[in-house]
Amino acid sequence: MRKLPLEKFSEPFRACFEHGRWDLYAKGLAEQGPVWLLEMDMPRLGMHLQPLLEVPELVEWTPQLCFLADCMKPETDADNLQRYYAMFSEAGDHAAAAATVTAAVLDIWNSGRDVGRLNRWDENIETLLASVGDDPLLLAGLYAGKSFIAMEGRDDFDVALECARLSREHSSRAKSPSLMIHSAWLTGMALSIRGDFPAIAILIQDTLHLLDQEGASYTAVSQMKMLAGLLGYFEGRFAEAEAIFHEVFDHPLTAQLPATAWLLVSGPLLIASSEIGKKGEVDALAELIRLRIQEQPDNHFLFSCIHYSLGISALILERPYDALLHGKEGIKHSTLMGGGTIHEQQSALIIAQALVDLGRIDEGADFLAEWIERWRGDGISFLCRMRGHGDGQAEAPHGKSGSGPDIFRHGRRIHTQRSRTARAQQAGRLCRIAAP
Amino acid sequence: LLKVLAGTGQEGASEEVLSSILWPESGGDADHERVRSLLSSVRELLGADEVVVAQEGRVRLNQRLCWVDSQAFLELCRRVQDMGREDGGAALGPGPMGLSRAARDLYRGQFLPSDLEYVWTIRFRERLRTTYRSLIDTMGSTLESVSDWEAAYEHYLQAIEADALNEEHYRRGILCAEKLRRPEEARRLFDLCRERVRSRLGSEPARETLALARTLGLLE
Repeated sequence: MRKLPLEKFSEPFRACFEHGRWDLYAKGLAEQGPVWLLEMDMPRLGMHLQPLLEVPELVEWTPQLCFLADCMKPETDADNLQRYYAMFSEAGDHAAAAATVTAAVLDIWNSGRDVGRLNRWDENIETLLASVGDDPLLLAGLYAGKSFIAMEGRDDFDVALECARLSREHSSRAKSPSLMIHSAWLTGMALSIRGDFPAIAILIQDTLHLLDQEGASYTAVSQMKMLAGLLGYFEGRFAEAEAIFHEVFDHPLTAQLPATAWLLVSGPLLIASSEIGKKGEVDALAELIRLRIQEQPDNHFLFSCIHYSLGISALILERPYDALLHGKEGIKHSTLMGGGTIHEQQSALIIAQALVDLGRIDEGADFLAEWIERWRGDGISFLCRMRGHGDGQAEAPHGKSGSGPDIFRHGRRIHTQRSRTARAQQAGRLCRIAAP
Repeated sequence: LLKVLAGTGQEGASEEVLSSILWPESGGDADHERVRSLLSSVRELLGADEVVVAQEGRVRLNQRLCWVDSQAFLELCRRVQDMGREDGGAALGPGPMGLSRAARDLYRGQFLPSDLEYVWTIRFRERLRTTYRSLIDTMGSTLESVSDWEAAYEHYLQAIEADALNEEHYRRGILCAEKLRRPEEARRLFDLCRERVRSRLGSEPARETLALARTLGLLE
């Protein structure tokens, strides 16, 4: 039987529920729901909405409530969100307007197509920032949205880092554990693209104490755990990383995530499992991931990430031809997403490695020549660190992504130090073909 | 299963609906077998096959053998409503009033209070509660229309016992106390309302309740 976790219901919702005070229940939810949305606490919002959906005739469905209910649907109508935004802004309901921004950003990201639409919402954020005054919670939520848009929508990592910093500052003032964690995660993701792993390690240490705090949302906590896992992975602590990814993957709420968000958990798990040689698990998880693709055939972000994860996994399992195909598919879908280019560039790296592993050195050299300048130009040293190219390519200091050969030389040295002969040879090959 | 059937009344529920309530995650042919198996267990437990009727894909309690208070309550309310329609007036006549009292006495509070967390109970619980509130209003209006303030006052006090946070009943009880020239009782009732709303809902009473208290000088 379906059950409500009544013990997790906040007051006065539980008392209103027990005593049939649906008027107060609805009023409270219209006020609190946007805050939960800003904190991306979808499970809490969903569980508090459910009783209302059972007795819709007893509730006055204000625009705020309709908006919250719409947000819990599998896919939200983008035009509808824009209408809600305009309505709430005009009415001076800044919390609800800010919540529509969060909802729209999540919706576009989950849809995995026309990601350029994020930039329109960036304009809405700017308008709202000018009108919300000094409400720390709203400011934290809005800057978090802005940081995400800068990162995913246009590869602008400077702005992403600055907005994440502002979001952290305001969320701390607002005493919102969820937004404090979420903004730290945004910072960490931008830092990972920059390749500043020591800074991520410090960030994680500073944030860990928040994960057990009451009110910390599942989304925010799992994001930070995934970041800790990624750091472990980048630093070569594969078993530890795999254990962290597994912990998040096994959480009951993870299975309920939209496909895109689910893949950000299952993808890294696949790669880490490949790394430690759990072939059976890798095959089973890869199959699960393929099944999930079928849910959203036009979600290019999803396809891009899936092919990226499968490509990395194939490289590790020494199936370079499979990796090459996944890399090409990854690039195709990344381009179709229509947003930033980070995912496209990640896939390009898989192709480069796959060509080298296949012994098609000249082809690999031509391919790399085309891409390395872009990576360097964009300051995306992270790409030179991905495991498909061995953890050997990792650890180039922040701001010193260097030329392709430098990075691959660095990788060869580390591989050799770790006695990973095959990887060292790969890095050596990349080093040769990337040489000017 | 018995609780679900108690909530579905004489129409009962289709096996499909029962399955979706009892095993929401599953589906398909296996559910039919599960319902059948559960039915056997329930019949065995009750020691009488005829108590639960399964016919043409629907399952229900045998009304001739089982009396369910919630269903009896709804049935009485339905009859009151039908008789009210026949009379054509808003106030209840002596016949419907008697049935209303019987219905009111049957309602002892919310449906399955120890199963609040089960989603399927919400709709039926609220249906009973809404019906009860409507019954109280209609009965109260009838008593007020003949200026039987004493009976109306007692009526609202009884309603408050079964539905502790419905402010409408407090307001009408307060008005009755005023009509009876018992300001202390009106004040006590308002204080009780405010104390309950504050402690359980963490807020002040509704605007209408405060406005009434202000008008009657009950607010200090």
